[in-house]
Parts: sequence; C-alpha cells; structure tokens
Amino acid sequence: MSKTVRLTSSDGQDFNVVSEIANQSVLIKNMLEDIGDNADDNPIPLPNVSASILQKVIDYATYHKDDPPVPADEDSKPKSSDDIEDWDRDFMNVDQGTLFELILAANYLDMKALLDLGCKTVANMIKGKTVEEIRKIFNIVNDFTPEEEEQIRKENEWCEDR
Amino acid sequence: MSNLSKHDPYYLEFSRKVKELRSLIKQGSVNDTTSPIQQAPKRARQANQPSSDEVAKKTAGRRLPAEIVLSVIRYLPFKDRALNTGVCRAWRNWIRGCPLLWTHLDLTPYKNKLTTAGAISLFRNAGRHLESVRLDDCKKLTSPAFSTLSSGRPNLKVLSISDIYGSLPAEQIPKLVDSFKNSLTELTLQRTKIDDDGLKLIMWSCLKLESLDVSNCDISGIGIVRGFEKVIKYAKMSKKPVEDVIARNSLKKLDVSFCPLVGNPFLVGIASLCPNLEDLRVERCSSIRVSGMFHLHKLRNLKSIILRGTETKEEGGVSLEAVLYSLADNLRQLSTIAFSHSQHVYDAPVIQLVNKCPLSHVYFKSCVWITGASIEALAQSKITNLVHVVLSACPAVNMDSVITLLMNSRKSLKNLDLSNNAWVDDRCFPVLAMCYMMVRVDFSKCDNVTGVGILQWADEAKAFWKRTGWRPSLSWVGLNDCNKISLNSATTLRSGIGRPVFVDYRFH
Repeated sequence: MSKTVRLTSSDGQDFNVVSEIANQSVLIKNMLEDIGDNADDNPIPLPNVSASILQKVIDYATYHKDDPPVPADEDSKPKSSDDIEDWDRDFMNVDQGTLFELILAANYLDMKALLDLGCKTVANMIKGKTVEEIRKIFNIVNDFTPEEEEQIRKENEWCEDR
Repeated sequence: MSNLSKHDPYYLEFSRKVKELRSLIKQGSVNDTTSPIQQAPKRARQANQPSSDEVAKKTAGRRLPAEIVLSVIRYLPFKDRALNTGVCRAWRNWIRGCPLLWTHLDLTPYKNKLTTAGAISLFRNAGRHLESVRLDDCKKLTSPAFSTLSSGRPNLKVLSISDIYGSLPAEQIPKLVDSFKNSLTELTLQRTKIDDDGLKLIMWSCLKLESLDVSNCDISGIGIVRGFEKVIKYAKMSKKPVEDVIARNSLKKLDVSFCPLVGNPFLVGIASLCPNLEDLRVERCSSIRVSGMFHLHKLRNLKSIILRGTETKEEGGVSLEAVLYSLADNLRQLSTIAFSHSQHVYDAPVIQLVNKCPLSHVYFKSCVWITGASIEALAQSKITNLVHVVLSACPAVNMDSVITLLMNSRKSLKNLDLSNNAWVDDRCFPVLAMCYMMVRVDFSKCDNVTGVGILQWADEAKAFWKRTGWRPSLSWVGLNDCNKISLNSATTLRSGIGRPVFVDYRFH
C-alpha cells in the first residue's frame, strides 16, 4: 500500500496525493525525506500555489507518473521546442495567466519536466514575434530612453524580417 | 534555491549568474522591471524604479523571474534571443548577462542579414565563454567584427569562416586563427583565399587542432606538412624525442577535397606526420597519383578515406589494386570508403577490403568494374553495422546480389542509393520492406522500377510493421526520372507506409 501525502494549497484546500506522484516534485520529495514517517499526520503547506493550479499540477504528474527522469542538459545550443506531445499541448492550452502560474508553480515545486514544458510553450508563443508584441504578451512597459532604443534597433537590425 | 538539477553545469552557472543579478537588483544598480504596469508608463520611466511591491501585487502571477525568462530564451534561435534584448531593461540585462546563451554561435543561417554591429554585440555577450562560432558566408561582416572576435576568447574551440574572403583578406586569416591557438580544435576555411604559407603558420601555432577543412581552396596542402615539420624542428632543438612529438600530433580529421593542386608530396608528408588521422578526404584532388596513395597504409588509425574522383591509373608499377590490398591489410579500423568514376576499382581488392575491414559506409559511384561478386562478398562478410551503401551508376552489379545484401543488413542499413541502374527492378521490394532502419532510398533514373513494385513495397512495409511491431524509419524516397512510375504511385507512397514519407519525384 503506497503512502498518500496531504498537500495544502495557498487558499487552504487539501489534496491527497499518492506519494509516488507527489515525489515528482523535488521540493515535496525533499520535504518528505526530512519529515520522515510523520508525513501522514502533517500536511505539507504550499503557500505559493493556489488550489486550481495545484490541481492541474497533480493532473500533469499523474499522467506522467511513469516517465523516466528528464536528463540534465549541458548544451547551450538552441534547444528544440517542437517536440511537444499532443496531451501536453492540450494541457498547456490555457489562458496566459494560468500558463504563467503553472510555470511559477513548477519552478517553486522543482518539477523540471513541467517547467521545461511551460518554457517551451512560452518560447513558441514569442518565437518570431516583434518586440512590441512580446511586450504585450508579458504586460511589459518599454523603459528604454529614445537614445537607447535607437542603439538597440541598430544592433538588432539583422533580427528583423524584412 | 535552484530547482534545477544540481549536476547540470549549465544551470549551476546560470543560478550563479541569477544570484549575482539579484544582488545587483537589491543594490539598485540594475533595474528590476519584469512587468511594470501598463497604466503607469510615465512613472516607470521617470522614477526608474517602480515600487516592486506595487508591481508584484497588481501583476501577481504574471511576473516571471529571471531564471524562467532565461529558460524560455534558451529555446529560441539566436535571432529571437538577440531581439528579446530590446524588450525592456531587465530582460536586456538578464539576456546579455547570461553568457551561456551565447557560447555556441551558429550564425550561418543569418549570413545575409548579420551586420557587423550585430555580430560585435553577440561576441560581447559571449565574452570569455565563447566556445564555437560559425560565420560561413556572412557577407556583411567587416574587419571590426573580426578584431572584436579575436580578443579575449580563451575557450574558443570551433571556428568556421568558409566563404569569407571579401572582408578578411588571406593574410589576416592566420593572424585571426592565431588568437585562438591555445584552444582551437576545429577549423573550417572552405573556399577562402588561404594559401600554403598561411596553412604552415596555422599548423605550427595551433597544436590542439583536431579537425581542418580547407576544401575548395587554392592550396597544395604542402603548407600543412611544412607546419608539422617546423614543430618537429623546434622539438629537436629543445632535445625532445621526435617520435613522441609525432605521436602526439592532434590532427584527426583533414579535408582537402576539390583542391586541384593537392598531390603526392602532401600525401607522403601526411602519412608520416599524422599518425592519429582518422578521417581523410581527398575528393577530386586531381594531382594525386596512385603511388602517393600507397603511403596511406601507414595511417593505422584511419577510419574514413574518401578517394572519389582521384586519378587511379597504374604508374611506376603501383596499381590501385596494390594500394587497396595494402589498405585492407593495414587499416583495421577502416569503416568508410568512397570511389567514383574510378575506372580501376576491380572486384578482387574490394572483396579483400570487405573481408578485412569493419565497413559501415561504402560509396561506389560510376564504378564500372564492380560486379555482383563484390556485393555478394559484402553481404556474406562479418560486417554487422552496414549503414550507408551507394551503388549509383554501377552497371555491372546485379539485383540478386543487392537483394542478398539487403537481407543480411536489414537491421542496420539506413541509407541506400541505387540510382541510375537499369538492373534495379521490382524484385527488391519484398526484402526492402523488411529493412525497418532504412531512412533514405534513392531509385532515381532506375527505369525498371514500376508503380506496381512501389505499391507492393508500401503494403508489405505496413504489414511488416503490424507483424513485428518494428516501426519503419523511412522518411525520404527518390524517384526522379523513373519512366515507369506515375505520379499516382509516387503520391500513394507518401502515406502508404503508415508514416509520412517525402517522395522526391520529378518526371521529364
């Protein structure tokens, strides 16, 4: 009988998760090792993850529970972002706010596969876009002075299509 | 803090950089404006530092920290990486300040657009961490780009500047290469104006060079030999044992293809001075003679020899046969051989080669004396890892021997070129259907391959997949100028196997 772990989201909701699935989060895995056998009694608080996001994370971890661990990659060449599986693509087909929340949660929970998936998704969103379009996506304001803008534009002239 | 694998050096350096940036942000010297609010642009610009609590509250969930932004940028090609430095100050600092995004600059895809200013900015981003740079045919680069490149790169291992001659005159090439002499392992100078004197300087200074490509240049290659001779001369002067110096020669891969002046003196010199050579390409070096090739047997570590298009007439009592026999006897690691338009390649020496060498890549193009006997011998040999076979325009080979070959190498063969042969017919398809590792097959100009055969191939491959569970790997088929194949069969093949296949089909 495998152990279950109780996770508490930032808004106070409890989730019971099989420890095998919960251990995909290195953060949770380390916490469980520290707590030891008292895991059943003490729920693990996750103050940075809301209930709706935590549910999604659990769905992801459940679907991918049999996946081999993601290898660490030392290459600094541009990595491919075209190899997203259909299920993952549908999973990531959410509104932008949720997408960013998922990435932040994966970062906090230390789940490399989910984090990579999130980053690939965002990379695909911004690939080939202009600077203005990217600012809109991330809700970023242009804080360069006109002189700086001019310098940057000259430097990046070769990046523009046509 | 770092959630990413502790064993990943990239991420370790990454986290260190991020920690650095974070402390800079705290000190106020770097502007942390991940997502300043849209409604207050003026305030953001004037204050130069929006209250981060304010920003955090209003954009909670949208604010992506540096390490995530950088993880995203890592999935982008260089053009997009550079473009994103113009989004906002924070991104500019993070992206430019992460040298690991810039260590391997393959800028050849941007050859028509990359400006000097753009290149200089990329080199600056990489800093001392630059490991590899490819600038082939980057037409717009001028000399300031190369001077920026040349200073402060202790880690540069790979340099490729093919087709650059306008902005980098021949005399400047050795000087540029010399700046990386302590780290350079791979150098590509195809179609540049480098000359033998320049090559001598390069070989003398770059003592770690493992791979050199000077194909399509106006050289005789003797400069390379002279460079090594100079190294030996200096070793003698400092009383170092010459055999040790030669044994430590780092060159493993050398490509002097399409250099018409490369001839025997080059071959003789290389054979004596580069014992660690594994890959030698002398395609169409029209000054090479058979007597020079005979020295190749000294290169005991040779794995790949490309002799396509070289002169193979017997001279001075040395025939190509004799050369091939000596190669078969001495080169125990030979896995790649290539001949073309070679009128003097006969079955007997080839059969020796296939019986003695662990061949995996065998290229015969327009070899009129090779018959089915060679192919049978190849099929029956101890070879287990045959990967690539080219038998283009070899009229004396026959279908039966090729069928036997396919049968015996169906678990390894990935690439097959049978183009331009009238003896190729539909009989090969049943066995071809079982070659599940096959990725590319070329039947161009094979006039006896019919549409019926093609369809049979598709059906049997699909059935084989079902029966055994082994997925076919086929992704490309060449059917150009096949007179008995209609557009219909070509189209059916595209999806007939059960996976998408690109069919190269043109009919005149």
